[in-house]
Formats: sequence, C-alpha cells, structure tokens
Amino acid sequence: MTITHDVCRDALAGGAPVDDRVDAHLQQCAACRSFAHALTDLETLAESAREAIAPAGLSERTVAAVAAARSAGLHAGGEVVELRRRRPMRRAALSSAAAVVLIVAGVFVAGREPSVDPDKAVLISAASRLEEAGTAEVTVDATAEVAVDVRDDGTPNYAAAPEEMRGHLEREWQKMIAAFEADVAAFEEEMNARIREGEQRMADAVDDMFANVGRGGSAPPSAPRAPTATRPPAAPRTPPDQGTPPAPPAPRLPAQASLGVRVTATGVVNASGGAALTGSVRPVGGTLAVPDSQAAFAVHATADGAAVRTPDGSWQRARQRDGGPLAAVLLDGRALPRLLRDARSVARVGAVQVDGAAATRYRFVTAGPDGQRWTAVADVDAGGDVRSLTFGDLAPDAANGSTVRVGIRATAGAGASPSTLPASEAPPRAPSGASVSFYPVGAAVRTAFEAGASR
Amino acid sequence: MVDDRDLVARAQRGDDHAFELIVRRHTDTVWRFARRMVADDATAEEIVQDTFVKAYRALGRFRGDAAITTWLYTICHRVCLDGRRRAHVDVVTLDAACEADAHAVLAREHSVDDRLSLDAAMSSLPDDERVAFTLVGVLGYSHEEAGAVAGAPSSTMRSRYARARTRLATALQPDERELG
Repeated sequence: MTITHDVCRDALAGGAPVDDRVDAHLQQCAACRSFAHALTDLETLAESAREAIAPAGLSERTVAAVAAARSAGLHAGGEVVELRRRRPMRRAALSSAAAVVLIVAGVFVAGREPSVDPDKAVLISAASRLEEAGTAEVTVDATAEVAVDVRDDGTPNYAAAPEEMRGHLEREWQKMIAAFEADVAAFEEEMNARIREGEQRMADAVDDMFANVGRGGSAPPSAPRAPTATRPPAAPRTPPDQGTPPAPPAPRLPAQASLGVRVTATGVVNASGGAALTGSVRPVGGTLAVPDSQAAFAVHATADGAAVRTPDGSWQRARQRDGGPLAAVLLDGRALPRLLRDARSVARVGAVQVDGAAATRYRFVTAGPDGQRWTAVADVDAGGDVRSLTFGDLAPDAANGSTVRVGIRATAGAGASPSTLPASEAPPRAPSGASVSFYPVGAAVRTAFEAGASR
Repeated sequence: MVDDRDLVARAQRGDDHAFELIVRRHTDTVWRFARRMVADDATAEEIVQDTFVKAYRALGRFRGDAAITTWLYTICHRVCLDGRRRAHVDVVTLDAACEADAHAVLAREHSVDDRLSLDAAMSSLPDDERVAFTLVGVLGYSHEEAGAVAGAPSSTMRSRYARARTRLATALQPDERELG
C-alpha cells in the first residue's frame, strides 16, 4: 500500500511511526529523499546552535543589570521593577523630525546590510590572511574509500588500484560476490515457487473445467458448486490476476569493489590553485585493516590541472570529478580559503590548543565545489590565522562519510608555485594510463581522481 | 563546584554574590534559548538581561522542584512572549517601519544565499513551534520538560516539534530544479 508525500514526511519528522511503507516510499520518491536529507542538515544546524556561546561580556553586563535593578530598589524576591532598555538609535529616531528619521533610517538600513556575524567575520578574515600569505604548508589526514569499477564481463579492474591493496580488494570483492550469489539463489527459489504455484493453479482450473463438463457443461464456471464426494473442497485460492505480489527485482552484480582507506599527506598549497603534496594511503576499517599495507603517492597541481604519482612511479593526470572533500584539498589550493568564506551558521565552540598554541574553535556548515553541504570545524589562533580545518560530508550517512583534517601553517611571501616536490619528481608531461579513484564512503558525495586515458 | 541549589538557597537568603555566580554559570544556557527565539543578537541580549533581572525578582518563589535551567527557560520564554505582545500593540513608528523594510529586504536576499542558516529558517516558524524546536531540537529537552517550560502537555509539544521539523526541513530543501 502506498502513502502520500505528506504522510511520509510527517513520519520522518516524528509526527507518526516510521514503517515499511515509508521506506518503500523513500525508495521511489526523490523529493521525499531530499526532505530526509534536509532533516539531517537540520540536525547538524541544531547541533551547532546547541554549542553556541554568548557574546563576550554578556555575563558581566547581565550582572551589572541585576546590580542596577538592585540599586534601584529591587531585591531578591521583592517587588516588580520593570526595566526597559531601548536601543539608542530607535530612541533618537523617535525624537527626531521625519526627514531626520528617514536619514537615520537610511543609515540604519545601509549600516545593517554589510554587517556580518562576528564569528563569521573571524573566518572571513582568516581566509583573507591565508590568501595574502600566498602559500601555506599543510598536513592532510583523511578517511575515504578507494574504489575500482567492474568490467562488463563482471570482473573488477584492479589496474586502477594501488598494487599493495589489490589483495584486500579481491577479498572484499569475493565477499560481495558471495552475498550476490546468495541473493541469486534466493531469487531463483522465489521464482521457482511462483512457477510451481502457477502450474498448480492451471491444473486446478483444468480439473474444475472437466468437473463442469461432467455435469453437462452448462453451468458457468463462477456458479456455486457443491463439493464432490470423492474430492475434498479446494482451499480458497487467490485469483491469478488479483493479489499476486509483484516479482522481486533480480539481483544485480555490484558495480564497484571498494575499500576504506586513510590518506595522509604533507606539502604546500597556494592561493592560485596549486598544490604539491606527498603522502600515503592505507586500508582501514573492518576486517580489511592491515597496518603494513600502504601505498605512497604524490600530487602536483597547478591552476591548469593536477597529476598523481601512482605506486608504480608513473604520473597520471588527475582531475576532480565530483568535488569531494579530499580532492578539494589535494587538487585545489583555493579550496581552503573558499571553505572559510562560504561558512554558514557559524558557532563559536570554545578555546582549544593547536600545536601548543591557544586558539578558538568554530563550527559551521560550508559548501563544497559542487555546492554540496559539508560540516566543518576551524581553529583560529590569537593572531587571526586558521591553524586547523576539519570538514566532511553532510550526508545522511555522515557517520561513515569521509573526513579531512588539514593542519595549516601560512608561509607569507613564499610565492605562488608549489615547491615541496623536487624538480625530478614533477610530472614530465601530460600522462596517460589507468585511473586512480578515491571515493568517500558516503554514497551521496564522491571524490575522485581520474586519469586521462580512461576517459 | 557549588551546586545550583546551594547557590539558589544562598541567594534567597540575600547573598547577592551567589546570584552573580548563577548568572555567570547560566548566561550561555539562557543565551542559546533566547537567540533561537529572536532574530538578532541585540534583542537576544536584552532578553537574557531581562530574564535574569526577573529571575532575581522571583527568586523567593523558586521552590527547587525543577532544574534551575528549566526555571530560567520558563522566565525567558515569558520575556520573549511579552516582548512579542508589546511589539504587536506598539504604534509603528517611522524608524520601526524602515527597520521592518530593511528586514524584509534582508530576508529576501538571504532566502537564497543563507538557506543554510537556522536563523533564516526559524524566522518562518510560529512562536509555539519555535519554542518546541528550540527546547527539544536544540537544547535537548524531552517533550515533557519542554512542556513544563511552555505550559503545554507533552503530546502537544511532540506535535509542535514534528510540525516545526517539517517546516524547517522544507525551508532547508534545495529548489526542485536543484534535485536534478
């Protein structure tokens, strides 16, 4: 039985129980899935609001207000003393002539427009300082997922994966195949049962027809009949054209084999879009975590494009396909200040220590390159420089989504070109070959490095 | 750390320093509630100060049946409602009208760019749903606790909270064309 959008959304919002009908509706309705995602966004925004702290000095001002009330004759538990505080601008406007009021109001309107939340202003200032510095040394620590596509013949194309991880990917693939084969067996059993049921109905229909013929064949098939003495009455049967549940969908072979990975890297990014980082990637999570298995990689990006040095030492041209968090940092140095500038719903969390220095932590929502929403945390030191930026998917399965933490040390005047990689390590020319893809775990947002030749 | 109830007891006996400690300890708590109930920091700050002044005045009537935060939220809620009522009956002055226009312009501009803003989304909520969402969704109160603050049965708070979530999620959804 189907349900309406309103019933589905009411259930998701907590106004009614969530049952299988809601799940079934969500499978089919993109608008309600979008609504479900918005509810998740709402939870994140509410969480940020939960950690908001009062403006500096409000406690002192409130204590002073209570003291003022006390000095005016109010005592604890005493009589009413109504305090009225008016905004000076409003009071001034009230006492002014209409023309003056309009001018004041005009100033008020003009003055409000550029006003920015002070916490957001801190992040915007930090973005500017990062851009002015030109270059920043960064350390990247991320969790994501490496994935390989499955060929048309049903076998994974491991050429795209670091060699050190192919064994683990193969094991993961075999687990997926085992699950797939179990699904196929269940599907076949279901279909065979349906076939047997259909055959039985046909046989019963033939029996009924011959029984009618034996009585002269004039009675219509739907007329009530007395049970025969030699045959017990048949159990009530569902007519073949009514109430038969639809056939289950046939199982489909997985389209990808994947593995959770942790990516660490160090290097330099610059405000013009360049980046030069070296690091490693190793499997994490579940039964596949093998500490001694890791692959080195390097990334070299300019405003014109980026390349990844794969485990075999060759350079592969890379591009950011879907704008996930990891690729945003590794392939585009402009991402860091942009993430700060695009901050929304900024909440000051409190004081933290970053590399031994005092900093203030801010939590906010920001937008990735394709406009998808990410959660983010920035630590800004006493000098106004952002020292650490952590961000990840704002997806329904965000608990398993990719997370990227970037340590930042701005290096003013270092120029616009990445300088970490030795010249001999720079990509020699536009490369070709297989693709290397890093996908975040969350299905809603993908990060990909994709080499040229596979396209 | 001194227990809230001890501080209240001392304040009720006339220890103003104890009440000062209560203010310092719970300013952030009351701020979070007030800030979600109104659209700007300045008004929220006024509400916080009014709340503690009224709490100081009413201290003798606090019996300690509920947590002090619940008591402060209850006062803050009334301060917010009183502010709304005063705003409704006040004569609209020229500057207030201009301010309203400015807010309308800002609201239109922010409707697209600041879709992620909880402030912008909550501005569309009726008062009762805003209270329910703030207490349950933001501050983590149960429906029963929220009902004690708002003076409503828990079942009412539950339905108000669900309606608020529906409205807010709808406001936060991307445009249809963005769903691709």
